[in-house]
Amino acid sequence: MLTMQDVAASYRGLKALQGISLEVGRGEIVAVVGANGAGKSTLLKAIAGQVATEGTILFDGASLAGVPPHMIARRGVGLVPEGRKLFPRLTVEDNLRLGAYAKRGDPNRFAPLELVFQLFPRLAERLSQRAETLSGGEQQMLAIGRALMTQPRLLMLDEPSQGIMPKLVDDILAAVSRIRDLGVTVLLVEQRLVEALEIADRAYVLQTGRIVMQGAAKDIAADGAVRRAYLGM
Amino acid sequence: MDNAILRRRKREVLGGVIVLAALALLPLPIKDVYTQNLIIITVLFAGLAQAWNILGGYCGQISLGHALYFGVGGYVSTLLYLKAGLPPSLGLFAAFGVSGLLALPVGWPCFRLSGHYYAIATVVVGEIGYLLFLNWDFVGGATGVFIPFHGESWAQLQFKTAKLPYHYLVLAFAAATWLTAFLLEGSRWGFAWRAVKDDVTAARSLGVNIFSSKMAAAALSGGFTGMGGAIYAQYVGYIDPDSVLAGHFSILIALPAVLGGVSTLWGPLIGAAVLMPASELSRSYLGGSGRGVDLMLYGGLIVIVALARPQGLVSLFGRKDDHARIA
Repeated sequence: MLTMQDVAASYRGLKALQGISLEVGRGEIVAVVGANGAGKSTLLKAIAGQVATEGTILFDGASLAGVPPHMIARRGVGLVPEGRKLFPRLTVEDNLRLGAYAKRGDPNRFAPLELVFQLFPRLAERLSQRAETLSGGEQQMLAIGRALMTQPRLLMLDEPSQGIMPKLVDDILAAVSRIRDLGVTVLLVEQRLVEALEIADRAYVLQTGRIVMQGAAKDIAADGAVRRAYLGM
Repeated sequence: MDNAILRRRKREVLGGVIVLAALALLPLPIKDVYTQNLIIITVLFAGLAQAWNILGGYCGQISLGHALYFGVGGYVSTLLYLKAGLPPSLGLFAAFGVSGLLALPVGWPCFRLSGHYYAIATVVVGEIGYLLFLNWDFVGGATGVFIPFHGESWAQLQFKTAKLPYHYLVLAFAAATWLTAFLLEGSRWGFAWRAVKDDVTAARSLGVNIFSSKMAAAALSGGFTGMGGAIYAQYVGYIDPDSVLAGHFSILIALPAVLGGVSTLWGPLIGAAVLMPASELSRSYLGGSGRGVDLMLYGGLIVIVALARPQGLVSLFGRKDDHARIA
């Protein structure tokens, strides 16, 4: 579904990613793990078209080079950005409806709401609250729900565990698992190695902008060297 | 869920009708020309500030160059009348069109910048417009243009001494901007603009085209500002670059919205209702007592409001829940 070949990304000349080759197959959960500053977020931004890249990025066989970010989103790449990036003064409902922005004229554009409420019943209870009044965990649920409203075929999540209580981390990752079971391919970026590898099929380990290891998630989880060398555990 | 929003929308429509009725009746008992004039200017600037609010408030792009649209609107309707005989009542709409379209080539380079840099760029563009008109003979250059009086008529929008027709003209203008803002609040565009204002990255990830959203907001905002400029030109009967294109008009247009509360329906009107009389009264009572004393008072008022009510005067009214929607 997603193929990256020898992709490099830089911020004003500062190389953040180099020689990235990565594959995400339909229906997989692929985790990208690594320490702070390894380039995990940049990787997602590169796919979403939000940083300048070199190399090849193919989504469903079509190149994403030169496609503006909003058109990449419309092709079916959903992004749950780092730090959630909700619209704080809009209500939960309006945040979700904005997710359907690109589906103008589609009578079924609000259909994913049902799915979102199934995954996160709490959002249904808080529809008319402003997003900024939600707890951290609820905000993350809303950010995921908003991305699901775009009806993505590939859902990318950037550190969904950031800033929320440990118990909710499991809930949210369980929801990510269910989202995949519903047919959405998932690319998950996480610092929390153990939890991420539990739900992922395959994983890539990123260090200072390069992929240093890849394989089945359970193999990487079992590899003591990975933990010590790259993840400080 | 929907009901709470629907109820709020209904309340706002009701409020709009009541305020419109009140403003329609307000000048009837007033015979004093000075006060009539003050009310007209206040309502006009409420409309202009709401027009600014579309871009500066809802879409979050702080423009400090709106004098350009205001002035160009005034020149468009005036010159079409003088050189082509188009009645100003139609010229208003031409002014809307030209100023709205003008916002596109202005936005094209300026929206490549964001935040403070965008604001600075708009100041520069406004200044360029002022200098161009100042040195352009076809539009009267520094001497400006007079609008000759051809008898009272709604088509020409000319009334010898009567102020009431102008009052209803500016009121219709302000009501149109209010209605536009009201419709925007519930529309796809309005949501996209608030998303652009809150978080560009998130808006993009939902498929919102940032650049064209800003352009659309700028065109609508510029168009209404141009229409306001045309009405102003008709009202005062004489325009020159200093009276419609000077940089301080950009500030005057933005201030009521900022002071009253940006991205709100009522902020611009409340801001204008406070600022325009304050400016007028301080000028008439203190203007002669030394240079700039009136401006000090005026500036002091703005500082006080900014410190005590950073969300704007509108936050004094309304329920707690509504406050945080501002800014």
